[in-house]
Amino acid sequence: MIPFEHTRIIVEQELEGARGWATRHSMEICWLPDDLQILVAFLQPEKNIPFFLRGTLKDYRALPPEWTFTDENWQTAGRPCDFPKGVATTFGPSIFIAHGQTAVICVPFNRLAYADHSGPHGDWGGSANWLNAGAAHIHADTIGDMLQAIYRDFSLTQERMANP
Amino acid sequence: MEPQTQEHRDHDIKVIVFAPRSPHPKEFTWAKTLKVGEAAREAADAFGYKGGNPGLQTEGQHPRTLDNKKTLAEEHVKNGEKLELIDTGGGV
Repeated sequence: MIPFEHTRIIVEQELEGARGWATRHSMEICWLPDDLQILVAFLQPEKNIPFFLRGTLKDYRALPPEWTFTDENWQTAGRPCDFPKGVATTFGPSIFIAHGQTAVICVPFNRLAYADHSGPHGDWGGSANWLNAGAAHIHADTIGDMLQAIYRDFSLTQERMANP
Repeated sequence: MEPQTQEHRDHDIKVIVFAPRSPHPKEFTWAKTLKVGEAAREAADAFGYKGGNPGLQTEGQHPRTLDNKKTLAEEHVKNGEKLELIDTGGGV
């Protein structure tokens, strides 16, 4: 849908801000341009448990990225044992939820939250509507804003959603 | 003019705001009586955000999200403090 090179250029522009955010939070962003993937390791502040966040950006920005937590080799997707267990925040319910046998980062800026990509939301007008979906909920429309939004809820978690 | 300048100095604070979409921070001078939510919206507009639910968070190892309904003074924002824009929308 979106030429590979266009997505690469857009992502690399957005990464300038995102890398500034990551540096302020003592993290590193690994960008794999040939795979259009972003890898970021998060560390739970209280328990020091590492989690591995992967964003796949094919067709970005026509569609939102596919955000998921993976195993330490960045290979798996949607396994509850790779996800933090969500806790309610001062902002509302956690964005980390179980959906059937899988786990999802349930936000409008995650392609995997939409029913057209096996996610829970059939009420957001489809993943192509991501910039206007879920207006009352957490909002992020650049890579840096998305990482910050995910980390916002992640930083309050204390354990895994399921045992490995 | 000098007394007015001094008055402004007493009532205003200068803060540095970072946004995760920009590699460069911006500096703002706000009245201490300004509500956090209003300051966050002004900063969000300056960084080019459209919509959303902007808020402000302190920097550091244990960041604290400021209450959008309180004033900067009530949230103990100090002159020269570094803050980060965040979205305060809830999960789904």
